[in-house]
Amino acid sequence: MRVQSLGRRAALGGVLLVLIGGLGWASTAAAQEDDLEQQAIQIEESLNCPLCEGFTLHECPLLICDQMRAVIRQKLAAGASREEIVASFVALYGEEVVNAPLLGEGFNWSAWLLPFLALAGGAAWLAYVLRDWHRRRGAIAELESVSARPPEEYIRRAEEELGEID
Amino acid sequence: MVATSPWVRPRTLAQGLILALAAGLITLLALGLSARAPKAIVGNPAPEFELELFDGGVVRLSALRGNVVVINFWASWCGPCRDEAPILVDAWHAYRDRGVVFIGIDYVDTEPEAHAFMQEFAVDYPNGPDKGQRIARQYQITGVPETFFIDRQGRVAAHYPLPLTRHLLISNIELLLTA
Repeated sequence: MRVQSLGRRAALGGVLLVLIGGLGWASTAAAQEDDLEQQAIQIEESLNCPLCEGFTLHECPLLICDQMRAVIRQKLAAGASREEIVASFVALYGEEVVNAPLLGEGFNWSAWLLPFLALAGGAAWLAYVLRDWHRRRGAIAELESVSARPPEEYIRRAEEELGEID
Repeated sequence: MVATSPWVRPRTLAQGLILALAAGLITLLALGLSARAPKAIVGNPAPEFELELFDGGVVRLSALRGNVVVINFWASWCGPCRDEAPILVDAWHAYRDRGVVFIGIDYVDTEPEAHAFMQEFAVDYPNGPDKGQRIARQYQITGVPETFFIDRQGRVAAHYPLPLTRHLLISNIELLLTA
């Protein structure tokens, strides 16, 4: 009787262990899946649709983009890194598929930076011209105010002479 | 006599820099526009290319001189390409022993779907992906399917930016074989 009860308890314990282990494995697998999904979305957002302009791979509704998104997930599941996936896409679809400049690609960097440099140059020039203009205007205004107001000595003498006439 | 200062005034320097920058930008713009300007393809020598095939081989266009070459741009996601594929495969089987070579160039595609497409339509002529869209740019294609007919001298004889019919395909090949 007692042996039977012990056996039942052991079986119950075994079942509980299997359940806990299974739950743990399932939650780990789900977490890994979530992580892969997040990585896939990040990669998709860093790539352009190779056929339309202004759409990232993540948001483009074209069939080819569906196919490319599936390839990203397959490669991630197979253990490929983000860099490897992006490099394989660049090799197949060209550099335009990346929506950020590629490291080590000199011309790409210059093409990305040149507009900002031009903007900064233009802003610096505008600031210089405005400052120069403001400085000149200030100098002219100062000159005008100085020349418009007679010297104190002259005013005093004029007031004295006017007083004498009165 | 006016003494000249060895120093350039900051304002002159800034203006010079701005002008140089503007000139550089205009030059870049002009270069970009001239590179994008379409050039005539038909009647001119076919742009040379080397295509890495799906089966691991390599095809160089210039090595096919003396043959009539049919270059077909396609993709697995392209509906009209599905209508065209059986016509191309039939014509390839009919003409491959008569000095006609077919080349399939897979444009902006994914490899698993490209393989599935080729298997579905039993495409057995040389086929490969257009890596980096280099060949598509050389031939200035605007979409898929597009087909180019190259004569025996290596010139582009015809270009069809639309799905081919059996009649269109055969008549163009026959014309170039009898030329």
